[in-house]
Amino acid sequence: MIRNTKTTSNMKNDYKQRLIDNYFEKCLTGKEQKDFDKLMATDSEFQEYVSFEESIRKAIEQDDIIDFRRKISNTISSKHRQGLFKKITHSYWKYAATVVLFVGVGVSAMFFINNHNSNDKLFERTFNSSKIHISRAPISSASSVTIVEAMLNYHEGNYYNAAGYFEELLEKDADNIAVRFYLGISYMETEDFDKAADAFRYIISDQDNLYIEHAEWYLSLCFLKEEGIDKAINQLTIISQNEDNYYKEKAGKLLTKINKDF
Amino acid sequence: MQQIKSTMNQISDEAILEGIKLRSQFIVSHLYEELFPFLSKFVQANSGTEEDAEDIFQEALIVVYQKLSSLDFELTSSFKSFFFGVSRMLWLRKITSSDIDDEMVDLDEVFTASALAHESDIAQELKLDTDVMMMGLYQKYFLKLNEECQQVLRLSMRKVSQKEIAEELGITVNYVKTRKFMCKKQLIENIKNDPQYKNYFEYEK
Repeated sequence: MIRNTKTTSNMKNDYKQRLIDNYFEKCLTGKEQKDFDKLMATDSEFQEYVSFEESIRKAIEQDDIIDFRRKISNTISSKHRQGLFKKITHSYWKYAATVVLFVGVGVSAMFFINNHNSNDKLFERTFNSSKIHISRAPISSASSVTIVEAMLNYHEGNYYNAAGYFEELLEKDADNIAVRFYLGISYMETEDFDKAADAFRYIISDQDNLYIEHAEWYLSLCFLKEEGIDKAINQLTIISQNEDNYYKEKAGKLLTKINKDF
Repeated sequence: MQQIKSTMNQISDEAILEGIKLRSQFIVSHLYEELFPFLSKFVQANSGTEEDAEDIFQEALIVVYQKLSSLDFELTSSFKSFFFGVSRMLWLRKITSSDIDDEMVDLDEVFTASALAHESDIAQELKLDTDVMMMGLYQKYFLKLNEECQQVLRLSMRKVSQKEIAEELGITVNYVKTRKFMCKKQLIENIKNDPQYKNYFEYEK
């Protein structure tokens, strides 16, 4: 008897739920519409439920806010993984070190496994722009929305947009080497290696800035990817023969690998 | 070569607001680094947990995001002050509507001054936004559903037909019906089981 009562109650609830679904989806039949109207007029619990569900529907329809909540949650989770109060600011050298695949683990076994790597594979294993954050502000004023938008897009991996903003900035300030460097990296990410190489050549030819060594290194990667192995070898040789070059050792190791594989 | 300072601490309030408008993860990350430690200490000094602090951090950002959508919004203090003021009010509301009735402890002068200076304005703002609080609760539990449930419910509520949903997700129409029913049931149960659900209503009465 108790079971029967429960079953009847569940059936009623299921029917009410169906009425609510069909009401919101605007597909009530004639009979359902009548039942729905009657319940709305006589059943305060049903009224409350309809109102509650309406609110839930409104909440779920707020795509932008749900997207923002997801990002905030992801950030919090990510910070948990990193350690709650760990600073994400990094010094130039720390980043410069992490850019290169070999640092910290010595010569990567993965990189040196005895197989035939193509230029592309070498490039992909060596270039990882997500680790490139030379943290000098490429800007004269942090309040510029354009600059901030450029950096926001860069940091979020929207390299195509970032490149657009960096180009815009260079139109106003062609001598800004930092902007040009980030532009070069953004071009690499969007696989526009010719333009990236031009940006790095510009930085190298300037001869008086903090980005020359990096530009030389990334230029060699552009060559590796696009302009052929000979140019890459020449560029890496220049780097490896410069005693003071930060990338000397890495360039030497990459040359060794190229010589083995090609 | 010299070490180079980060840009992180130099982000202007204008840029922060712009970043929030864009729902930038970079800006969220920056704000978490800069503000969450203070917020967490404050919440934990007032009977809360770190998880509570994370909820308040999220809700405060959503409040700011929504305020930025309204045309008449104007930041009359520093962003930090405004954010702490909003956070404090959100936490105050949460503990007022629960069993905790201890006097609120403010942690330092910055938090106290920033919060109190704008409290009346913010209270006015938040009073209008009880719906936002409820929406937040609904969205929180919606995001806790698995991806398939979220998809089914989202598409259903956009009046996409069950046949189209089935095609989109590569499942049968019957499965869509069952999933929709079960997912909604689960969502509603989870919301109703949250202690805040009743508290919000009681606070309003």
